[in-house]
Amino acid sequence: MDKKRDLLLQLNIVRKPNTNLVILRAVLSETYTRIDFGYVATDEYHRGGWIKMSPDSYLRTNSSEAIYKLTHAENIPLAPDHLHFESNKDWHYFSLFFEPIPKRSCKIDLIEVEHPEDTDFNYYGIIIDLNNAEEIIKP
Amino acid sequence: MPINKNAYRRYKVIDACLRNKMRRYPDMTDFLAAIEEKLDVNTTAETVQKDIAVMKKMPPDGFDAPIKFNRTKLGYEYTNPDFSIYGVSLNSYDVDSINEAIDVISSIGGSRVSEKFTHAIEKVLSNVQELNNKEEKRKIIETDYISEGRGFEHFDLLYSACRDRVPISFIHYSYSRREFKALIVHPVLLKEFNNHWYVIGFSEAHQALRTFGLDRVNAPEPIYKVFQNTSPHIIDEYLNDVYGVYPLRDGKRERVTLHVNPMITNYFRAQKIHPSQKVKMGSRGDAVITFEVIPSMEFVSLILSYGKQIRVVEPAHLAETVEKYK
Repeated sequence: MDKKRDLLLQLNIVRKPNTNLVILRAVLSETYTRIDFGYVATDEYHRGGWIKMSPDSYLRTNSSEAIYKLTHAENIPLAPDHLHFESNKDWHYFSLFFEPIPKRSCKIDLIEVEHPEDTDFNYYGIIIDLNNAEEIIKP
Repeated sequence: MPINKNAYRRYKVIDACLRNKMRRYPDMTDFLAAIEEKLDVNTTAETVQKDIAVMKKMPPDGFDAPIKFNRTKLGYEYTNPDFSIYGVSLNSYDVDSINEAIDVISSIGGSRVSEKFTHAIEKVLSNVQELNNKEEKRKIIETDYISEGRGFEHFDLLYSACRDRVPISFIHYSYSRREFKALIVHPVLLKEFNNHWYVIGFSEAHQALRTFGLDRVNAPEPIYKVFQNTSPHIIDEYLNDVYGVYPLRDGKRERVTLHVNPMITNYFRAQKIHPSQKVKMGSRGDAVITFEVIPSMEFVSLILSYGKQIRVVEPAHLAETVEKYK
């Protein structure tokens, strides 16, 4: 596997029990791992409520004890800042960048909070299958 | 020695004078007046004499311009009437035609094409604009457009992908289903309808041609993958049968019949809204208009925009949809 290639995986994984957060894609690069998300506001909160991401979020794989820290976020504020929606019909696309995980097939967990509630953005067992990865054409 | 900018601007004015069919054989007074008018500077006959001498030199110092003083007419001329220092001879009619085209392109290009294209157009036109820049630019053509729509920043990337046949991964958000999805699309065409841009391509998830509004396309990434070609015949069929962009129901072409009141019949008679449109006039000025078309949300919007002046005769499902949105 050429380490310099950026690999893209289409994931489309809906989180449960709250199905309004979707992991859409993962990009495995030499310098970062990017996870793309889509969030759809619901009727549960007034004017759609708000979202934020914990700056302590990280990834871990099932193949080692290593953790891969969040390095920056695009289109979503890091706590204590919040993004407040204007209506319960709003929608939002955002990306999180982590330290690069190894480029091999594995399962990863996204941990925002160690002991999460339903509203926290934790995901477990995300399958990274490099057989289904596409290579991104760099500019 | 490189030609300095001021001299080059004078050469262009002298060249324009020599190519002006309405005032042939310009003399020194004409050159001086034209330079003053076009460039807003005073110059001397000696400078113009030197300019003419340089223009007559071989490239790269000059233009090998066939300038000669005609003793009979007491003025200067190009002995080759098709000569121009631009290499391509443009007469005043050509320049007017280009300027008309520029107006149209600039008017559309303001919002609908990328900055890159606008820049290229400006470069192409820079030569001829020199001849016209004295007059304040006045807008003559206005088109209806909304600039800076969401997703328009992806126009260049998607255009290149269509041209070079490169599959694209992007995040799509469906307004109607309120749902995100990562998709891989093999794009073939960018389409504009009612001031909105769409990308049309073969969607791997749908295994068919699909249309995606640019405003719902996020983070497009070109990928290395074998391009799924769609035959031009299928693309034409897809584009021509539907009015607008998003087909209703199963997207099948069918006969649509509308009854139109006299107040708006003329609009449909003046301009077909779809190639299949046929108008059968009634004796009171009303009309029955038929289409062989795939009904779409845009078609429903059009019908609704005329209020009670249009009634859907068939098909029943279209009549129901129109009623639902009233």
